[in-house]
Amino acid sequence: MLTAFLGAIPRADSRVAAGRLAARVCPLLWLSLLAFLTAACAPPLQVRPPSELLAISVGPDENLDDLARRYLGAADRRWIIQDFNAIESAAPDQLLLIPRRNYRPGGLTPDGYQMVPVLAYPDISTVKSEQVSRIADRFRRQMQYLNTEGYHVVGIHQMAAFMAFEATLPPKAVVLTFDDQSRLFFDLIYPILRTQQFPATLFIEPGAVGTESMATWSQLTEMMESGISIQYRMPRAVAQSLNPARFPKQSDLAQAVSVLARDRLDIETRGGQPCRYMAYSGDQMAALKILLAEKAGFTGGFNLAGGSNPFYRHPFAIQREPVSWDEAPKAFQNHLLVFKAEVLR
Amino acid sequence: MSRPLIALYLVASLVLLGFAGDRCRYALAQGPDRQPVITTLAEKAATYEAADEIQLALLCWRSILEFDPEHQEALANRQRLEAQAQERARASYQAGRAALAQSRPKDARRALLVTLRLDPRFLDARRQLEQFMNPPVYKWYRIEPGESLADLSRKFYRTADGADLIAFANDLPANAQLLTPRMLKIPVRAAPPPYKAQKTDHDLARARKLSQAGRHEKVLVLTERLRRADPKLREAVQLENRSRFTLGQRFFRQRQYIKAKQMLDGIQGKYPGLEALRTDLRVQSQKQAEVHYRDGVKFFLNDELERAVENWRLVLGLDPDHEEAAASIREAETLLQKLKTVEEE
Repeated sequence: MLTAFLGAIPRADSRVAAGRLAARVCPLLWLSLLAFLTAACAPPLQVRPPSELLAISVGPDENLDDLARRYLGAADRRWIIQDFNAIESAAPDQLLLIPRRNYRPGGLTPDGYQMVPVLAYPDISTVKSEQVSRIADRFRRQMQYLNTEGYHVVGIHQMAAFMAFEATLPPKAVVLTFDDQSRLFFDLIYPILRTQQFPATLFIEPGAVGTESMATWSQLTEMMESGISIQYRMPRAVAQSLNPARFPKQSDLAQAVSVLARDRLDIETRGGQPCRYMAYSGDQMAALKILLAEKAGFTGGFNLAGGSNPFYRHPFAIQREPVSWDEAPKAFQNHLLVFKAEVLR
Repeated sequence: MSRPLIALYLVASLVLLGFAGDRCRYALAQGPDRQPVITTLAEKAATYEAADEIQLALLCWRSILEFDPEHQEALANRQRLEAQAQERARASYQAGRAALAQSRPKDARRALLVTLRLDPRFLDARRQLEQFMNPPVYKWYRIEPGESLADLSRKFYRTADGADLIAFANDLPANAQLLTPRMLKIPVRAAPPPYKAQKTDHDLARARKLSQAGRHEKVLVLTERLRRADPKLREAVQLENRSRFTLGQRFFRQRQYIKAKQMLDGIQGKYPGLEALRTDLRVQSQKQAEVHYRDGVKFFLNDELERAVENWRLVLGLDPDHEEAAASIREAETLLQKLKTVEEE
């Protein structure tokens, strides 16, 4: 390209030509210099990143958030650097290793394995009005407890990746879910979650959105934009149609599947995010509910059986641990089983 | 000089600099900076290995080899650790399988978790964990010639009313004629009711009577319940062993070798005549497997790929080590997939 460029210069007067050349080349030199400077100011990656493990040297003004943002894509992934290097903070010139793939599948260690509690909060609108402010205060304290005690609140999709053996979760990972779609939730609980920047999941019935005392689609969308996931809750009418005392007819089952599939698509269309998980209650008829959910296109299901989850839990029988809004931290911590100690050597 | 030419030059320079920047930074790693990284990685690998974190140690050694592919210590340690992980994982998996066969779920779970910790890619271990450590959603059942949906419903639900449910679960019309050989999934209708300890004596007495009357299927239902409440209940184990052996003999005489094997695999400890029956069963299973294998080949040659696969699956049921059948299934399934793709196009 440069030859072509020089070739275009007339040769009649060498001094004039030299001047013209200088005039033409100068901007390019400046631009090249600018480009070199840009490259020089790029993050000082001091050592070659291997494909599985990145080795970096901490810059003078860098902290773990900066490193996580730069090398892992988000500041809230700093725990990966902390966990892998067994450190709390980074010092300048310190050599750190950053794994770039799932380095602890299933949370398995020689001393046990990770369990993920999925906390399930009930519908806050059922609480008596005089208790609402007290309950919001208690809930705030529960969230502060999670924050101060080093728990990591993770989203439902992260948990799904962990259970599929595809992603490592932070230690002490917890999932927050709410069987709630009320306006009261939007007004009282959502601001607390937003302050803490906790991802959470709401299980909703799309048919009830915007009805009396329920949040509207625009409120749900606002919550989704700040990291709240909206998923599906099996409507009571469908659950009740599965009477344990009698066997359902094939036409009833097909009808139930069409309701679930229609609702799932409704959430996806209006919310603009995939709706893959269904919450259901009760152990009775669980297999039938799972069958219906599978046929309606869901990829996972959450029951209310209580307890925490290892990675090998059936994806449609993930157990949620029911929690009350107003539990004091001492009672609240009993729901947080995050590790099962067992010698795995 | 024309402005487009300048713009083109500028863009090309920046793109090239982008690559060159990486190359420059890559080059740093090849210089004096790489030694501290290699040292850190080697130290980290040693620490991980001492803690029996073999996969993490391997990750470190592999990363060293990315810096220096000829690093002798890393090469040797990678080879040694990979062999060690595989060997230990395989041994642990076998222990897990044995524990499952002997109805020792806790031991089985532990062994399978160890397997996955040592080798996260051990898919069979994951499948076994998910299958046996979760409450069943379906039971798989191989239909016998002449059986109808109503027969299956009676068999599993003690009423013909569940025929619709079985049809629905298997995407069959309600009045479908069942063709053999075929596996059907039977939804587990409800969670088993919680067992009451005080019923133990009553159930043991019933199991004894049923055993004397030769009603061994019913004995197994009772002993399963008894052993769920107390896995070490000696009389329940003895009764179950007797019923399993008798049923195993019966299935063997009826040439239902897979069922016979399943029965015998569940016998705990030693049982008179068990080894001789197992030997006979193995011989007959292999003979039967060869018949099915040849049938599969015939179907394959007649372009009936699905029936060929069905027969070869039966072969694997009878003789899991039949490598030709496994290879033939893979080949036929690849062909079926290609045919499907062509049809879709």
